[in-house]
Amino acid sequence: MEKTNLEILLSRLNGRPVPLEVRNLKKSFGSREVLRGVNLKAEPGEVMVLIGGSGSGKTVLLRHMAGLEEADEGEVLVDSLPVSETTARVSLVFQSSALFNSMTVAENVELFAREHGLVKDEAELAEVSEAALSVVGIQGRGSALPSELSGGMKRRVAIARALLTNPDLLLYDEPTTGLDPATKKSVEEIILTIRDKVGITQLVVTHDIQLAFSIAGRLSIMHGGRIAETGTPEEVSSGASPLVSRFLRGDRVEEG
Amino acid sequence: MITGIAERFASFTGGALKIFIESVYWCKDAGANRDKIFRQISIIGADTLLVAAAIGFSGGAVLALQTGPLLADFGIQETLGGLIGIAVSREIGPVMCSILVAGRLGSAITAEIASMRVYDEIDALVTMKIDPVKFLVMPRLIAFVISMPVLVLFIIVTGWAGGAIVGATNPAISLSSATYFNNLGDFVTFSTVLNGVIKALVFGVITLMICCKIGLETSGGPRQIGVSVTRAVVSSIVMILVCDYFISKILLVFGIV
Repeated sequence: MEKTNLEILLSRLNGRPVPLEVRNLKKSFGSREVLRGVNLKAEPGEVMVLIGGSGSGKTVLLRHMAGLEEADEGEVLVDSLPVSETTARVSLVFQSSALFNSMTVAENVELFAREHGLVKDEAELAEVSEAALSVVGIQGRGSALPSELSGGMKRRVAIARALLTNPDLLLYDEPTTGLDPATKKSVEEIILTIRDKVGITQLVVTHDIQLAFSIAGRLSIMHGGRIAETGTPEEVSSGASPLVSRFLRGDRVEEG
Repeated sequence: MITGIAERFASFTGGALKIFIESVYWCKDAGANRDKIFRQISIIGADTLLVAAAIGFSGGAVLALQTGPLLADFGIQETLGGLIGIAVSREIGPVMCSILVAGRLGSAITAEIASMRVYDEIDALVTMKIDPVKFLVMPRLIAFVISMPVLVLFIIVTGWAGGAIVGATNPAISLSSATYFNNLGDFVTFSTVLNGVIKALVFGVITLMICCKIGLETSGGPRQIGVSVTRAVVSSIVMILVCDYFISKILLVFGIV
């Protein structure tokens, strides 16, 4: 029986679920304190969602988890090792998609395999990359340049590219911002499928409360450079502090 | 203030040198990156050859126009070939070639890398455990090392031709092409041309490292891309002209003149 695109993609993903721990992380840019002692723990294989107002430090925290920033104090441990030393593969889906504009969509998706000498069979790589693009709903657009795609399509290509790095920890920065409802739903399904079929640890930074409650195993709310509350979606919504209640209602939460 | 400038210069030079050493190290993977290297070589060729021909030809022609009549006044216009040959090979060719490369390629390289930095593409490389220096700088370094000698030779030859045509067609000089090239052959040796090739190679690598360094350290929004490009081109041209003296001196010491 012929394999589906999802099966082809999943057959290539064998990341192992790794724990993620953030310990007392502090970071300032000039005189601006962005992270003021963040503590956070994601269990292996769970989907953790980080929500918070604009300027609360979510993206800066995510960049530390991806090893793109150096902390002033504290540390990020991936698989119990500092992120700069871990052998676990950490991949990040950027809010800006960060596709390489001079390369085609297929070249973007295949880049990791090519640069790390993992290509044994060109036909197989082409099949996997097309399967990954199909799973995110971009089938048949492998030869297009990123500039020919809409923002939502670029975001989905970025997810396909991140998946083909075969990550142990997958981080998403605002994966559904600017997407139409149908595409949002497909991103949600991709995250849940990865959770159920691959089982790697995923951390999603989002403003999208609906997405957060649909996918989160646990939810952390960030405010003022700290984690204000962590719990399951039920715990967070039932025992909500005034700050959390305001955030969940969609009221503006001032950062300070 | 002078200490501050010196510190910034030392820090910048150190950073550029670090990128150079890293890219030399990554040359071990050149075979696996030959597609990227060939693409860079073709970009260099497509972007510069026509302009190189124009500036080489006009450089030689202007030099002949300015010096030919003077030599003729002294009745020694037959030495024009040697004069143009040496000046174009040792100085005008490599310096013009490098300024062309800084303006035409250096600006494009800085803009591309700075834009990749601003739009998170460099960070994407880092998260994919792809070294940005290996991915972006090494193929260009090899392409420059292959292309700069070819480009400067092209400028030198077109410069010689420009001088010959002006010498033959300008009534104030009236020098036959045969006499021009005979005299050029008497003065210009392999070592003279090698001098120009080495200079162009060194200037090209300096330009590349400056442009890559400035591109990679760009931060902020899209506006910074333009700022970085201007900074890279100006810094490259200043460094080419400053280093010209020192490289000429070093080549003189080694007898490559």
